[in-house]
Amino acid sequence: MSVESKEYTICKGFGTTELNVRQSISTFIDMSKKTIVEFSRYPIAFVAMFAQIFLMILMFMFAAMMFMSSSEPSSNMVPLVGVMIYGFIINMFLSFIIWEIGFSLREEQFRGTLESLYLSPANKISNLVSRIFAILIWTSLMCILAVVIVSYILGGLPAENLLVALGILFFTISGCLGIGLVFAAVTLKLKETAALLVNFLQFFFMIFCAMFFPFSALPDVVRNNISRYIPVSYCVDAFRSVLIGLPEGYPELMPLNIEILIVIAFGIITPIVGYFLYKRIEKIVKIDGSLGEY
Amino acid sequence: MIQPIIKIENISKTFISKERKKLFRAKKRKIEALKNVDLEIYDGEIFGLLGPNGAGKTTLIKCLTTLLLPSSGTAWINGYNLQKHENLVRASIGCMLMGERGLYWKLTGRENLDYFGALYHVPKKIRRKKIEELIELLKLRDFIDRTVETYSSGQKMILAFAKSLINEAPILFLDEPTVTMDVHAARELRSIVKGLNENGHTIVYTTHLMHEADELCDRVAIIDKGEIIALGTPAELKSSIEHEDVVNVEGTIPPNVVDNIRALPGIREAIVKSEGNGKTKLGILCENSRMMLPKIIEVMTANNAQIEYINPQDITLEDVFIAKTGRALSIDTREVVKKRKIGGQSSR
Repeated sequence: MSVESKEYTICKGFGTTELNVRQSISTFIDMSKKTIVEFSRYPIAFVAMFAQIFLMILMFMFAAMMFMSSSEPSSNMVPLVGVMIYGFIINMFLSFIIWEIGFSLREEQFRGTLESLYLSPANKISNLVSRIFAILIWTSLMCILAVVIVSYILGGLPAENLLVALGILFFTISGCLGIGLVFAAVTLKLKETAALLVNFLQFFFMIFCAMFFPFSALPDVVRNNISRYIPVSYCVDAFRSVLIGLPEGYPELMPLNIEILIVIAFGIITPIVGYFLYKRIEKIVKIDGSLGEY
Repeated sequence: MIQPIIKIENISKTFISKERKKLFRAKKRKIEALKNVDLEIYDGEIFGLLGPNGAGKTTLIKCLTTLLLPSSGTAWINGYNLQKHENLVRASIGCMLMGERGLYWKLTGRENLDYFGALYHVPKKIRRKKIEELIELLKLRDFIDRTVETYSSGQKMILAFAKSLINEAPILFLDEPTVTMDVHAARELRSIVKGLNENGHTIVYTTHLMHEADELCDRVAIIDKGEIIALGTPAELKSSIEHEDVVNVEGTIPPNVVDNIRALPGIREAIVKSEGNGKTKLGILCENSRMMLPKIIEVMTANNAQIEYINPQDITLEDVFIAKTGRALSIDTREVVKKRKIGGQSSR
């Protein structure tokens, strides 16, 4: 005889009650808060991480200045620095998301807290997103500050079509979250190896999505056979092109409306793919017993 | 009628392990961690799962707590099906599975409890109250606001125990909860477990410490090699081998003595319980210890064994395990003697 649910249900405890939206949001906020508290216990790493952002921005800015002859008006340099800075912003979001999701998942595996999380009824995807939620807000603030500083140094940085740019950034971040979920799934299964993969991916995107230079700097063979097949390339191209005011030659890969469509598709499809892949791998590790392996 | 709050139907779990042979070669091996386990645990009981390391206790607990998917079979926890209502199962249970692991070391004890309470969707107000209750109950006040990294092993264990109570779940899974605690703390934890049970919690308690199971559990299942080999109250299990006596011997005992003792008529089994520093502890199951004592001493002295201690004793759950498996149960259980049949009877 099998125990059929309701008549045998002895409802005690908090978790057996139906979960409402308010409680879900409250749990999400608590998860994000915990991430911030944990960060605050590593003050030096915390400060170093963000100081590093400014140092990198300065590095790229000075590198760009090196190629400008003193006779050229500084206005020629501004779009190039814009290309770099705005590409760098996309790079920061992408890197932080995939690094943070994968790395913190690995850390949880290592500490044994991942199993604790899986023992609870909390939404696992929500937990993954909460890890980067706080850092996303912080990164956004840092990006704004970085743009202001660079703009001050150069005496102005183009910031056109802000609303369109924010829309592109929104779908880009959503797509990056999708990549993050894929990466989380990979980390769940491959463990340590995933850290090497993230390093590789960061450089891969950096180079082939022309994050710090115009696509025209890439050889034709690379641009046409690799860059054009990576959705992130269109995010980078569209985002910086609209911000620098769509000068001649920008966007470089496709007409803007097509690029925007690709970015929207990327922002919608990738998280769905990431979610299902994560769920699939989650099932696999629960079958082979490697969820708690470290 | 007492209802099963946990009902396990034919759960089996097979793992595929890879044995590395050469640099890039590995041989796959099937490990049957659980074999058709059927079990009912009733509402309000303390149920003990006993067995040596690798017997399948933790695998069974992990299946019941949704950390592992069984290869076949199913279970109902608090009325919810394991595979169909994962989250409701999780909400119905409190778990202490990984000992001191499973805590955030950079958070304080209080922050840990608060966070895990949030994961179980315990409303903030209730969470605060519950944390205060747990601080009082488990005497955490002295260290609750320090980061966990500064805790001793025992303090981490007690915090992990507190964590399992944060959602006031009806069912508690405690996997070797006293393993790193000192005697005093372990005794106190057992008394808290008893108190929780009196307040209506059903407790599934795994241990390899027989005295713990004897003291705490209403019923006990002995698990070995993925199978439940004995099930009942501690008294029932002990009475199942009541016709046998146990003689414990300690001293310097040459290996051949064990076989010579086994060969004596009236001896059912002789097991090396532990060895080290040239000393051996021997457990002898026999029909009548008073009658057998002189014969055992005679065989031992004839084989140059030095007896330091010899004592006929009451039957314990460990003796039940020995009688059922032909092996001793210890932290690092090893098969020290081969199971054998004496007088045409299986020791199982």
